[in-house]
Amino acid sequence: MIEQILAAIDLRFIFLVFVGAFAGLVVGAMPGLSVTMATAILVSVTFTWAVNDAMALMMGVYVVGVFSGAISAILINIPGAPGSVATTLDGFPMTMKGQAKKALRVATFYSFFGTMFGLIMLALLAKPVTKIALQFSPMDYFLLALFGLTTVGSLTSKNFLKGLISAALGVIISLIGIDPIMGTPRFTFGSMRLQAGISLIAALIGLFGFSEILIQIGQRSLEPIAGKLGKEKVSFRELTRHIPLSIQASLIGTFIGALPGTGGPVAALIAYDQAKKTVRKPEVPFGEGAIEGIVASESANNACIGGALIPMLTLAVPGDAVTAVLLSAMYVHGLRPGPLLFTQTPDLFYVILAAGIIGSLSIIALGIGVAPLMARMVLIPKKILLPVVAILCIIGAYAINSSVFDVLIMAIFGLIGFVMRRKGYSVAPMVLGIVLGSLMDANFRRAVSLASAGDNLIISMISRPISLILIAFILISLFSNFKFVKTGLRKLFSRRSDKGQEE
Amino acid sequence: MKEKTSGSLNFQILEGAFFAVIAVFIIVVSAGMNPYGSWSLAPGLFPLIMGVILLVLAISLIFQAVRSKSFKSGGFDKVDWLRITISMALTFIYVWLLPMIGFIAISIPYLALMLLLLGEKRWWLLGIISVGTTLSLYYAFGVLLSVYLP
Repeated sequence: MIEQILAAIDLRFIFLVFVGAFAGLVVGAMPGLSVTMATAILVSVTFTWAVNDAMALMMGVYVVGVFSGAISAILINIPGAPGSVATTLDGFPMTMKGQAKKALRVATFYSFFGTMFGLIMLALLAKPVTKIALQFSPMDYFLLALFGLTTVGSLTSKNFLKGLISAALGVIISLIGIDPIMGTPRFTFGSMRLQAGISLIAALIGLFGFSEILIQIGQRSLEPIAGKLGKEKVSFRELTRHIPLSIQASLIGTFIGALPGTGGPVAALIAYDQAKKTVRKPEVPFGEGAIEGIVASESANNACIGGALIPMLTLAVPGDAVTAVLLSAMYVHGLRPGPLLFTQTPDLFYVILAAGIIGSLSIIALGIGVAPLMARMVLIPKKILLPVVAILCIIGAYAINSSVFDVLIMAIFGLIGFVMRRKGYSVAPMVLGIVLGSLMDANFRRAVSLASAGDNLIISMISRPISLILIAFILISLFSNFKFVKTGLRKLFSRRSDKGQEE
Repeated sequence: MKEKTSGSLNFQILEGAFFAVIAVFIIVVSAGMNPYGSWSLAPGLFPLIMGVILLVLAISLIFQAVRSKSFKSGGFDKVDWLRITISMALTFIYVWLLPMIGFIAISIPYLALMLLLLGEKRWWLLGIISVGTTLSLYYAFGVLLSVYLP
């Protein structure tokens, strides 16, 4: 396999991946400019090119674009892409403490690690993972999304109930627009513009970006975000210390990535939640600048790349929006992804792997070379930085669909986010709710209509082994947020460790 | 974010009541979304369930507030409301005028006014930042990325 991967690489190939990587760095770090949009533009630019060149460029954009969402998440608390929502939770607190460079370095290394892990998994497990993913029924997809929602506990350190309310409101917001099954308008109140639904990116920019601007504007002091960038060097040993956690997050990322319709945000949040549960003693508590939070989030969302490519290449089912665009690019080039890909054009599989590997090496190069330069923006006084970020939010929201209505949505969500954050409601669960809501709605109703043919509705819906396993996960995740369970477990563990010490 | 006390009034009860009203509204609207007579396919089924869940959560929030003695809720104290109101108003005016007078003509005064609002008084810096940022964004989005800008 290594020989076949090496055969695909030459100087021109490396150059094209790197050009794509640089473009990915820019679009990924800019909220509103999505990697999906960039790859979609590239399909129209590259359709006359040789297929290997086109794939090299697009994989460069894809791999580095997913990573660079973390840059703005860490520096200005605005996730460049939905997959980096969890990175803001610890990344931005690190910046405020003057550890921006350290946070960027950790994000760079573990984005690289996660991408490589995902690609290795793609190479080794393409077929078995696809088999499991194919067995997921609509009910299982619903349960998986519900499991994603139960992770709100880790996003809201203060009040779990407020987190749940934020998530429920997010799900309800996602239901605005034309219903995906029957085509009936819901909660549009006669507005034609609302029929397309609330744009996730516009809401994301509003809830994170614009609300942050309002919070900062509302403060009387407008000093720079951080007084210093921090010169503390992260030793290689310190950096690699979190590899076991990264492997755990990358496994979650690869698996979630392989499930069609899910992707980076779900994977990163589930991995973050798991990290919070498995890392007993982080150096700094989660949510206040824990390196482990960045490790989990960035490993998982980058590992999703390899995961999302698995069903795309083996079944022609895209794992996320970018792979859907890559799939269309393959069709434009006259290729037929799916089970026949390996027999008809086996080289393409290795070309994609090679481009992914060079793309992940570009993460290291750009993360070390360019990201620290971008980090200097946190030293700019807020009275200058905030208006510029405000206009970036506006143009970012506009660029999604060239729609002024999306800018209005962004501004309204900015105001909602401002009020929520001041009142102790975290906005991350709301974004998660908006991401997962439509997935939950469509699959739940498919599951209900499929099960309504059976004798007992409930038993037909949840009797499959995968469903039962997912239900168990949901219950564990949900109950682990309750105080009496937390204190009970703590007591149990402390008793055990006491016994161990006595022995 | 640190939670702050907001006087003796327990705002969480008001918040719970607000969410309960939203939940009841969702329930009422989605209960009417059943054009085919079968709930298993009805567009209103999932919104109805979500409305009920939100109602339960809202009531739990009120109960939590009643049981809690510390009257804790996020506060709005020490917030410069004037600045926030003006910047929101400027943004809504921006959205309103953007299709009429175009990106460059509205972005330059928007940036300049926002900078002024936040206390930047050096006129040369105001000019450089507002014109420079607008033109570079116009070039990046409008020319390089082929995003149509009004």
